[in-house]
Amino acid sequence: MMRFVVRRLLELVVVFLGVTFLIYAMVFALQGDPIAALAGDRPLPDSVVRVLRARYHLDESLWQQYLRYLGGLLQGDLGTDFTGRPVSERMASRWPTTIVLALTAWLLEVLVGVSLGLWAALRHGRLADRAVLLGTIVVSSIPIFVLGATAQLYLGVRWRVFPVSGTQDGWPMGFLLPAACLAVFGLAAVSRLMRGSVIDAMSSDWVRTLRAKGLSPRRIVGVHVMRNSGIPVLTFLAVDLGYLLGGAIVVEGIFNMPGIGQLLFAAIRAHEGPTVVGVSTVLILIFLVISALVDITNSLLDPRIRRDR
Amino acid sequence: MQHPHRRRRRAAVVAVAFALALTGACSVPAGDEPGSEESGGAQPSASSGTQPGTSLVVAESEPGDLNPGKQITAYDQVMALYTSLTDVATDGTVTMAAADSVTSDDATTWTIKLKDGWTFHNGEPVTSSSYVDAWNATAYGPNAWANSGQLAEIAGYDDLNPESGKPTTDTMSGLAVVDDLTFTVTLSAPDGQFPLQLSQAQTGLFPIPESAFDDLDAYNLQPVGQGPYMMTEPHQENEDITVVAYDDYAGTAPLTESIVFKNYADTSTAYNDVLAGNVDVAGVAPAKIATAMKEFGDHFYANPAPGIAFLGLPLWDERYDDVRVRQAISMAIDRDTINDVIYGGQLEPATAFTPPTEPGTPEGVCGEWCTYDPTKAKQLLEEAGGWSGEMVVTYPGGFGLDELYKAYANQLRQNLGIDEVTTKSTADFAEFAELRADAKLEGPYFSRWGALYPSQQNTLRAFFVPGGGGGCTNCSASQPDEVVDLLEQADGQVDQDAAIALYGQAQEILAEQLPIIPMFYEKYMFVTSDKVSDFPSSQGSPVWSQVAVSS
Amino acid sequence: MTVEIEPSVTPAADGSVVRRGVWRTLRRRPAFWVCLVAVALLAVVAAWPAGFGGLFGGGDPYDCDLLESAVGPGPGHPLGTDLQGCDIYTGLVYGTRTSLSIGLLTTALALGIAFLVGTTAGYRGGWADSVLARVTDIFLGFPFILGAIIILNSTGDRSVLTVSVVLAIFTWPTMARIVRTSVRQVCDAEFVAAARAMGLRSSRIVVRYVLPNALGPTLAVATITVGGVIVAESTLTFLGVGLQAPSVSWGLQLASAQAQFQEHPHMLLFPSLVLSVTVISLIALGDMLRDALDPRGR
Repeated sequence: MMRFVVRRLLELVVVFLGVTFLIYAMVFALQGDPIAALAGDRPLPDSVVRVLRARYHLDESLWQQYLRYLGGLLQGDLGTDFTGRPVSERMASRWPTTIVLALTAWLLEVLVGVSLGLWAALRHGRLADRAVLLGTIVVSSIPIFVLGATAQLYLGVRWRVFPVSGTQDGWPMGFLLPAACLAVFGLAAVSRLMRGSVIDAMSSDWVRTLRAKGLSPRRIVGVHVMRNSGIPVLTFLAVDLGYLLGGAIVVEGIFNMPGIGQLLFAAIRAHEGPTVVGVSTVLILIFLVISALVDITNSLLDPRIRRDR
Repeated sequence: MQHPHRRRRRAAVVAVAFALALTGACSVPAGDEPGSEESGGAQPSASSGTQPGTSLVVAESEPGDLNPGKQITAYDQVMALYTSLTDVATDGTVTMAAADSVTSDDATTWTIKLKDGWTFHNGEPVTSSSYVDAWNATAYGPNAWANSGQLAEIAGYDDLNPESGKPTTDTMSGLAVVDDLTFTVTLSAPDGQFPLQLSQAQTGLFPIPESAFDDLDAYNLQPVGQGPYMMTEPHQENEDITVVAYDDYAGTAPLTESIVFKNYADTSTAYNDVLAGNVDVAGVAPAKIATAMKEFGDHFYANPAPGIAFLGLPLWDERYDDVRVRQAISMAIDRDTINDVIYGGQLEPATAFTPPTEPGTPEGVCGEWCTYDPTKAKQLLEEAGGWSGEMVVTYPGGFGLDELYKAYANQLRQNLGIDEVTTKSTADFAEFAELRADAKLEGPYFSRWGALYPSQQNTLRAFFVPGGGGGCTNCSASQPDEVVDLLEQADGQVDQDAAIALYGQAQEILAEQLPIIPMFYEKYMFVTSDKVSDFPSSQGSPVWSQVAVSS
Repeated sequence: MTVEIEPSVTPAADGSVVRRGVWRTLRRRPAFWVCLVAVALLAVVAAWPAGFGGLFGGGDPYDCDLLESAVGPGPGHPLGTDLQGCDIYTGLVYGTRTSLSIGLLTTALALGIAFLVGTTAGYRGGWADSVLARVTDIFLGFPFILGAIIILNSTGDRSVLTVSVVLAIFTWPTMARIVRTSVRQVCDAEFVAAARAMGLRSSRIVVRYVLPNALGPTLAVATITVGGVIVAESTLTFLGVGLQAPSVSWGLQLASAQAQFQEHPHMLLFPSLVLSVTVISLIALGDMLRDALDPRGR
């Protein structure tokens, strides 16, 4: 186990270096001078452009810039954006919103997705099952920008069920509607996955054995089936949490949630290397950590996976 | 879901401000708020003083820098915090605001006298040094303040911005303090438009108190001005900005006690929040105009602005050499219909090369060349030898310009019979700017200008004269010598009528040569909540201190 | 963007997936026929748009008249016109090819990478598995929008091909995981051990025994992906980094209609409906296929 963890950590360092360089290189490769475009169509004086380019090291080669970035990173400095604001500060002010939004969406996926899936599975082949299947497909076929804007117009503006935008209403009211829009995709997948696993389990030999032993259906489903069907669903949910934390550019935009997705989108459009690398690296690290946790959990649960490690 | 509506109302404590970038027809890249101007409150409009307890919430884009010398996306906030030297109304009338007088005999040396009794929000008196020191700091190259270019005409600016290396001085030779309330400005060339340049949207010419220089980073988060409103705490990353009326303000007292500038990433979200009563003022994007007119009625405002939209032409491509080709392109576009369809009929088709809020604009100078006539357009194109190859109408993506440029392209394709007309949007403004600078655009392209002060000088210079301490990045692909000469002559006139006559002559030459095609005079559009009872504007932008709310 | 489904593969004892019963199972389900007809119709429209575009007059997606902007459904324009005055019906017909092409091409590309990576990782195991697993993680966590902007920016064109490549680059990781898991499970099966014991070459074992068994569940997920990709393309377009005119696609229609939703709901409604029906048909087909392939589901 210890060796496994150490190896995973070493991998992490290699991946970290590779990925940060790759992203830095990608932002570097973006066409156009970000400083010249800083003020939009209003030109900046040459001297200002020159000083700013030097200040943010845009006149250096990719390698110099990247090594400088790494050097700063070792001292805990994530660099600044083009107005001199520290990236760490900008990220810190946005992570809470994203985390709360992601967790709320995730919670919805877990609660609603799992219950829907279970319900459909227990009514396998009946109307409720068909309705859940169809319903989940229908919602996943609506583009998020249509879903979000429509939900905001009706539930927020017209019927006033939820706040129109912003986080000032706090949790949960301020987060429910955007989280629901965000959760729709995962929710559909979770319920379908859950449904499939439970149906599989219900038709398996061991459930038949349990039935024969006279266990109550409630106990069979509640304890044994749930535990066995849980693994693939949990694996999916873990990866999906990573996606949700990746920030939702569209949902954050529509509901004016100042989160990490909007920051990243704006930073890419402004060609702000340090911000883009900072945000992206954290996102990738989240995935790596989640993936490691999933592997560890799975290897604990299922000895076969551990075999060739 | 039938939960009762339990949302906490963002009750009383709020105020306004709004985002230029969000405004109407004109949004372009980050930061640009072209030409938004608003006045800090020295408007002569009668007022009964600040109404206690009143507040206004204004939807804004994220402000970035707040120091007036640096800001590029915080016009509204900064203009609420400061009062400019002069003030210009929508009709172009210049009045004195913080200045008592601005005078010159030769348009080269200007004497500025300040009104007595003005103080900064920290109590420090406003003196001529407050201006001279601020301008020197703004112009000082190594500071790299974005609005430095607004001072480029002052003698000695070049010393602070040498081609390379560090400057040897940190003061401009053209600035001299005469006494506490008087200073002189010597320009490197005569410019009769100087008093207009001192008006409300040129924030690079605002004063800065002496105490600010101790910690400019702190000043950037909490600028201390001499305007109608003040900030009571530093701006926090990602937070709204609240400004409150400054009790000792020496100008016309603001009507509303406090204004909250609330950040929005998306204009249609801000719009929805006005509908829901959470915000009092928001800019309106083109796609929302028709809806806004219906939903807001009297509370929809389309303010004439000093902005003008053109269609740029890739004159580095020899297919555009023949003026008849350029005329054909201009005449093939039905400005009225595009205005109706895309802007809810709120803009005005352009017939000159400057917007009508700039005094003396010779409306109609473009004549038949700016009038829709598809038959004649096709005929002109044929006379010029027809067309071969592609025409890629290009614009920067992400600024809501898609429908406008798609419409241009459709009309060019259909009315000129050119099959290969397509549109292309770049990923962002930087990419567009680079393609433009490298002459790699392959067809008519995005072009517009929002003037920071309403003088034909500002708009025409933006397209035909390198300046502002930089090159000519936004310029037309060709800059006719006659036009440049006439502009220079016009600038040198102390007498405004003489200047206007010369600007007019320059525009006549432009109409003959058509290096860029005038499309629309812009308006900045807003919706307000019912609570806003009066929404005065100047040069397109709201005059924040004179916006009245019923409490 | 894509729906991840962990497959449950149950290799049959003889080493090949039982296929005999699949068709028999499917053809008895009416829903299968409904979906199949819908998809077949879309395929025909995509292959021959000119034959459908002109059914109600018009027929040229670029024939737009600003004077007929935002007209509701009526004679000549069965589904009305959009803001530019283009016929929505014709646009939908011509957009079918684009949208389906993107869906299929992306899925095909992603499948290709997924099979390569997933089989290698699953069959080899060891360090190859670790490296590929980390690469997969990176692509899962990589900000999609950054990749999209970079690729679309540097290639300078936004064609069906480039957009598909962009989407594929971020779609394959999910599929690769599924392939890997399937391959893993197949490798544990006795018939593979037997084949190894008989001294068969690895490549032969993979092609002959491992792949066929991993194919079924992956293909079922792939049909679901096609639908997901078509939706994803519209979001990319909405963010301004997807397709752009002169391409005609459902995503483009949706992205421009979204802003007009309140004034002119028909502009959004019809493309949304067509998109939904397509995606539903594809996903339902995939579901039924997967159920049929999975012996326990029968």
